[in-house]
Amino acid sequence: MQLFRHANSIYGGSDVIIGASYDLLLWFAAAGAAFILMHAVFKAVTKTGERASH
Amino acid sequence: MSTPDITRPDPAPTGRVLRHKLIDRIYHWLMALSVLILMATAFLPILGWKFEWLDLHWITGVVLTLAVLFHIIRAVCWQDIWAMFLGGQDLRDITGGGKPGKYTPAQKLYHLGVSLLILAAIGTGLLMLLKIDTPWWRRDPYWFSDTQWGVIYAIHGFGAMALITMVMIHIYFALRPDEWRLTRSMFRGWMTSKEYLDHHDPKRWKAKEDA
Amino acid sequence: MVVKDMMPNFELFQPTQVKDALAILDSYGKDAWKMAGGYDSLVWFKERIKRPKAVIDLSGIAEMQGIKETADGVEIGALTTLTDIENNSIIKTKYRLLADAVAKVASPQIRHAGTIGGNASQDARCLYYRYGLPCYRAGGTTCYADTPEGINREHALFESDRCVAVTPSDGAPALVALDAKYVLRSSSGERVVGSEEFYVGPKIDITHMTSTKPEEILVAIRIPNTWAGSHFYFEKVADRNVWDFALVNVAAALKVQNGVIRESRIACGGVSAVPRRLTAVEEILKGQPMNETVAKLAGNSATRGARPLNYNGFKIPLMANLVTRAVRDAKA
Ligand SMILES: Cc1cc2nc3c(=O)[nH]c(=O)nc-3n(C[C@H](O)[C@H](O)[C@H](O)COP(=O)(O)OP(=O)(O)OC[C@H]3O[C@@H](n4cnc5c(N)ncnc54)[C@H](O)[C@@H]3O)c2cc1C
Ligand code: SF4
Repeated sequence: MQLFRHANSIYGGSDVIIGASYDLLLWFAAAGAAFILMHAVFKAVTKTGERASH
Repeated sequence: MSTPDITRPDPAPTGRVLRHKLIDRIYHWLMALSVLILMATAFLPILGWKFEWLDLHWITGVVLTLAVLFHIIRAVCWQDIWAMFLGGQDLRDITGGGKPGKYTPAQKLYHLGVSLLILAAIGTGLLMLLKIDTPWWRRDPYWFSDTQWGVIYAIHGFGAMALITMVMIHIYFALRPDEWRLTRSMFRGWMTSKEYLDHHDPKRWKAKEDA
Repeated sequence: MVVKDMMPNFELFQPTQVKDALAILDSYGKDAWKMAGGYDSLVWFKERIKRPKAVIDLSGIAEMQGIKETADGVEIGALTTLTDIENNSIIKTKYRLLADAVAKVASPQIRHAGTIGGNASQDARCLYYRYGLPCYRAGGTTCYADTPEGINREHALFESDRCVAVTPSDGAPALVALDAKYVLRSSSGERVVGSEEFYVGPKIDITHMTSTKPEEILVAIRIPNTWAGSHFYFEKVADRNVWDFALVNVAAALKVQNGVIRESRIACGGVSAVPRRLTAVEEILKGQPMNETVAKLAGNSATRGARPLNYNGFKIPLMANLVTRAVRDAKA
């Protein structure tokens, strides 16, 4: 997995960053899903849902 | 017409208090629609669904920018901007379990995060407009070097991708039954007086009755 | 320094069956490169700009070679060379437009090995892109050709969107005018698409010239009977008469009865990322006599909506004249 998208510099050797890597798309989506899952489980286990004041 | 004091200890349980004015609800839904369109036009082509996305993307970006500008001006000039800022009291609420004012510390934190991400995406998105022809200017990528553009695109990309996480979390809370009063208030403007007194500290949020 | 003009390492596969080629494609995904005659591919590799892990040399697949007549027209295997098409008797008698077009490609040597599949699928020839700059088409975030200083003499007049590169193919406009269908096969099946779906512009996909998916192979091109034996015209204008890409080319098929144009299909290359079908002109021509006045009208209508860049304004009168000549001089 990469953090950035790179391109070859036209002057050779070094490369330049051209943006964020799209590999991260799924990781951000997975982070959202993980948060939701953990929160839902936590609420279900502690049964605090009804009085939640989030 | 006299306004009943709904902050008194025993308000009529059937009464309603105003949580979001119509103008703020319109703003919220316009922003929601814009963000969803922006995300769809940005990410679906990357995921393999090919369509003409660019015009819709940048025009929606400009709409979102104007909406956010309106929101900032309104919050500064006409609303209690501090109601959305995290402060010492919020920390005490978290540790002491006191009732919050209009917004909980978690909501304020979320708002802060989303604001930063959207401002980052908007700011960099506006710079990217230099790369398209408009009636006012010809496109010119040489305003910035390749490396600078790389940073601009990276910020835009990270901001946009992090918004996926934030939007997922937002929609999750909006759909949770125990948060339904908040979702309903974003549709209809009000929450019941009972909900108000159960979940908020009337001293810190002096709500008005829903007309 | 980047080492140029020297082939980098890649794994070479030489399947003899389409199904084997597809299996290799499936296992390498986007890291695989399909190669036919290699006249577009090898330059990319030598310049070390495209660096596939695996190259699938399709040239040994017999099933994808040759021209055969079918009930509905003719089917040309994607690996059929341009020379074979140019010399084929069915093509010469019924679909002369295609023979005329491929005869104008590059040089005899290139036509001997270059295939119709590769010619239709070939990549843009924009110099900035070919030089290896990280432009939009290369997956980057800038177009170097369309800037206040960009050199864009060869670039697009129509339908550009960030990228202003054009289709360099001489075969493609003829295939569009003949209403060709493209047979794309993957391990999950086959789909047959028309030109409007096969060629894609930057608005839809800025890094590809066709809608062929990484897991698909173009196995054949089918030309229906519809335009067999029509009046045809192909002309290409380039800086050199051989070994050069078109600045603009035109391919026209007209059904003419008693000097009246009943129907037509006309396409131009070199003016947009996809061969530009001139549907408005085709409408104008319906029921009109085939003469100089109508031809001029067609030429002028063809360029409506053109948006020249800094250095390619000359393409507007060039395109108008080519379309005028196509409508005036098309022959059965
Ligand atoms: C010096 C020079 C001058 C030229 N001048 C002209 C010209 O005047 N007019 C013109 O039209 N062209 C011109 N060309 C381009 C040349 O005609 C084409 O490059 C050639 O026809 C491509 O065929 P190929 O079989 O060699 O393609 P390849 O290089 O093998 O492939 C080209 C592209 O098509 C893809 N591809 C090939 N076959 C298939 C398939 N069956 N399924 C899926 N994808 C496939 C490859 O992956 C690659 O991306 C010129 C090329 C050179 C080098
Ligand atoms: S015209 Fe297209 S191929 Fe050429 S530099 Fe611009 S984006 Fe790249």
